[in-house]
Amino acid sequence: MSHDLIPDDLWIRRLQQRADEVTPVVSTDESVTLRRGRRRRAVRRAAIVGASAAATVAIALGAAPVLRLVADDTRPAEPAVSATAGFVPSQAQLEERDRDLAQMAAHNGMVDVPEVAIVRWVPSSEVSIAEADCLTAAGYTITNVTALGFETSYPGDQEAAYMRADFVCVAQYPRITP
Amino acid sequence: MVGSGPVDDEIDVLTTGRTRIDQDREFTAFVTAAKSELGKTAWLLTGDAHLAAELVQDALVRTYVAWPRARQNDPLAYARRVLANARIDLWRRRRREVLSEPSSLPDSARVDESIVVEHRDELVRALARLTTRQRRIVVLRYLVGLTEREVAADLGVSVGAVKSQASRGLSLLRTHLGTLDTSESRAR
Repeated sequence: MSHDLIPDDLWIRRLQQRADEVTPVVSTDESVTLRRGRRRRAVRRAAIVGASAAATVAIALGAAPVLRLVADDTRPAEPAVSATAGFVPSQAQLEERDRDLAQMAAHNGMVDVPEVAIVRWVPSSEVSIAEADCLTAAGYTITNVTALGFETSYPGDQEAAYMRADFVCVAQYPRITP
Repeated sequence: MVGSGPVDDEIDVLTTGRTRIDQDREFTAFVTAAKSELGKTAWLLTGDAHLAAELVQDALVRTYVAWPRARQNDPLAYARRVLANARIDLWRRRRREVLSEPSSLPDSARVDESIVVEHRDELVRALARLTTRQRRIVVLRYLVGLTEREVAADLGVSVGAVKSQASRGLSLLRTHLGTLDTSESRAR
C-alpha cells in the first residue's frame, strides 16, 4: 500500500490539512454557554444545600431555615475586620465604587438597583472577609472564608436573591483601592 | 447523549461578587478564543456538527463550573479533556448527517463543495472504522497535535497504550484514506 511510499510524518501533515479543509463550522454561543454554566453551578449549589439542610433540620427541629433570603434588607452586618471607620475616601475612590457597583448590577441583571449606604471602607485584603460576614448576617451559609474569597451555597432558584444580597454587602463595604 | 468519563464536575470554591464578574469576563474571553479549536476536536470525535456543538457546549459548561481551578492551569486542556472523555453513543447512527450539510462549510471551502463533501465523507468514514479509544487517541495525537504524554494524561491511560493505539489507528486510517494527495483526488 502507499504506507511504503509516504513517510508517516508527511502523511500526518496531509491528514491535518485535510481535516482543516473539511471541518464544518461548529457553532458556540458565549452568552448561552455562560447562562448554562451559571444555572448548572446554581443547581449544584442547591444540591449541596439540600444535603447540609437535612442534617441541620434534625438539630433545629423546625427552627429558622438554613437560608434566610434577603430582598431589600440592607441592614448592616458587623464584620470582624480591622477598624477603618475613620477612612475618608477620595473622589476617585468614590467614583470607582460607583463604577464597580454599576458593573455588578448590570452583570447580575438587576433591574431595581437599591441605594445602599456605606457602612465602612475596608482594605483590599479584607473585602472578602467583610463580604462573607455581611452575607452570613443576611442569613447565608458562608464557609471557608479566606482573603481570596469564600464558599457559599444556595438553592438554584434563588440566585437572583443571593445576587441582590451580595450586591448590598459589596456596596456596604467598599474596598480601599490604592 | 453526551456525558463525561474520568473528568468530574467541580464546583467553584472561592467566589465573591467582584471576582465572579471578573471570572465571567475571563471565561467569556476564553470561550471566544477556544471555541474554534474545541469545535474542530469535537467534530473529529463525533463526525457530526450538531453533536459536536452539543459536546462543546457541555464541555464549556463543565469548564465554567470548575473555572476557579481550571483557569489556574490550562482551561483549554480541561475543556478538551471533557470532550475527549465524553460518551458519544450516536457516532455511527448520526455520522451520515454530516454528508448533507454543505451549508455549514467554512467560506474557504465553498470553492469546490463537492470535493470537500467527498473528502469529509471519507474522513468521517475512516475515523468511524477505528475503535472509540483509537479514534480519541488518533484525533488528540495527530489532529490536535498533543504529545503522547499529554494524550495519556487527558484520557487516563498509559503512554504505552497511546503509542500502540496511535500506531494501529494511524495504520488503519492510512489504509482507508490512501495517499491523501489533493491533486490526485481532484483529478479523478
